[in-house]
Amino acid sequence: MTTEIREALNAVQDSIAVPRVDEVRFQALVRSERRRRTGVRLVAGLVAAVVAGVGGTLLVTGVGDADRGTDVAGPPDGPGRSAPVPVSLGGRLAVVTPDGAVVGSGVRVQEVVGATAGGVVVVARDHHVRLVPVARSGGETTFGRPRDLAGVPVRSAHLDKQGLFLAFVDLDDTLHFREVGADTDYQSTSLDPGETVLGIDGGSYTGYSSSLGLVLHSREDGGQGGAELTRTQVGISFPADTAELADLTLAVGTSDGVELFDASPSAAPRFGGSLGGGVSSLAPRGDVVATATSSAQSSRGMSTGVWLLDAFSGEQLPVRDYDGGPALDIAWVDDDEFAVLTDADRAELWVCDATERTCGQRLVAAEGTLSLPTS
Amino acid sequence: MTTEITFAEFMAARWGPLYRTAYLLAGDRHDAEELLQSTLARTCVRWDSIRDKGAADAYVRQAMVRQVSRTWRNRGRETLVENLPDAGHPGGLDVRADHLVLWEAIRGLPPRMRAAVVLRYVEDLTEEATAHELGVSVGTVKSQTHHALRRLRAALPDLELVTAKEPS
Repeated sequence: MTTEIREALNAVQDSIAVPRVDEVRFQALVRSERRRRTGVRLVAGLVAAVVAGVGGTLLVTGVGDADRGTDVAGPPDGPGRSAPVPVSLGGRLAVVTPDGAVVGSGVRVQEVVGATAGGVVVVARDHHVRLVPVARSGGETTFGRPRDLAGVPVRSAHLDKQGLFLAFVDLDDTLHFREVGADTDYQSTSLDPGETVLGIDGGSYTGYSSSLGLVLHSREDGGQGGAELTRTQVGISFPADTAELADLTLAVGTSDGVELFDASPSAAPRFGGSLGGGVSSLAPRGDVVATATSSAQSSRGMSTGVWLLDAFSGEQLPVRDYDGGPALDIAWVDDDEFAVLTDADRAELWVCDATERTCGQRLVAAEGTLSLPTS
Repeated sequence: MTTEITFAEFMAARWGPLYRTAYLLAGDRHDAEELLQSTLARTCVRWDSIRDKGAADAYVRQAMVRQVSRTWRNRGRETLVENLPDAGHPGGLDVRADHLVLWEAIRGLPPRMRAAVVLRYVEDLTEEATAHELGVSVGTVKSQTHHALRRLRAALPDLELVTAKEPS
């Protein structure tokens, strides 16, 4: 007797009883989604990632650890306490735990690219992009042996907002796309002369060059197996500092604020001009942008703060309890939380909860250079 | 003059077929319902931003596929529990015995491998379209499908498993 897969699966599909729509549950999900998008409290679906142990000899102060310094702002409480944050600290990869402790890896890095399920992707000092495995066991965080992800030196490396796909530019200015951990590319393309990659999503990417400005390269899949990249010049008002892609949204960060576009070949602007602060980061789902006042804006008299910007409506909502002054950088650490790095001699790391719309200070770096993931 | 379909109309028309797809992707009734409802909730909120409403079906399906594929990324933030929950069971399906056995084996495949099988053999997508849907390379689709079939054949030596369309 033969069993044909398609026939079997179709039979299963036809046989399964379709439940009625749970209207109450569905409306609750819709309300939650709307609230989440606008930053109002949703569900505190945050799972504590308890990590312990301090590695290295980094001169930093955890906010919740009074034994290791004087920069104590009080016990850890409330928001922004659940996601560990990968950082570059003193030129080495480290993870800042929810309680403000620092676990150093000892791995020297040029930059921390971002987090994936299996660990943290970094560009090492030898220009190789590597995955540093991170594991938790018995309440302790341990780092595994770094694994080369590209096999060649890279000019730059980028993760998509979900941490699934890696893109890197080799020394011949070819942009390679592959799944994190895969040995082969699923796509590669030559960059335009002088082009710098700013963001990726799937096979699409944004690039900036002085000659062409900001260009969105949208991947369009054809029916005969062909995938084409459609190039669209994006009409921005100021030079782009960042140009991030996630889902339906292209968010361009400029010194004046955030300019939002459709992440499609039209690159249609959503709103006129820029919104929010001069430091920004698009959320992994592409629906919200976290923004903060930059030092340049602060010096022009703009009050400092952190806001959530709805990428579809343009609505801006303030985030409470942030007292870190002008910001230098922002990076999302999961779907609900983002980290803010302050622009000061003693850099402070704040972690904000987009659903609670509150922030908490997590770390004060007394020495060494602290920087956030770049993707 | 054309009248654009509303989200409510879309959901009413497509709930059933999309649930059946969600069930194959998730492998479990409750997970399927949660997967579909959460995806539709996101779609509802973004409905006005979806220009081509005719492609909404594909949009939802792709969102479900990506969600299923993403689950491995979030494993690092899962809470470990002492006792594993009961595995879902496919009881109540009125299908041939060999189909039920095969479905049990397919449910045991890793989520992305199962999604590749569903997209190729149920949704009838090409390897290229499956790759796009999963956000992976064509090579990965070929590899995932190949390994899926090999696993199924190894797990079910008594079945003469065939495909109407062998992946190229």
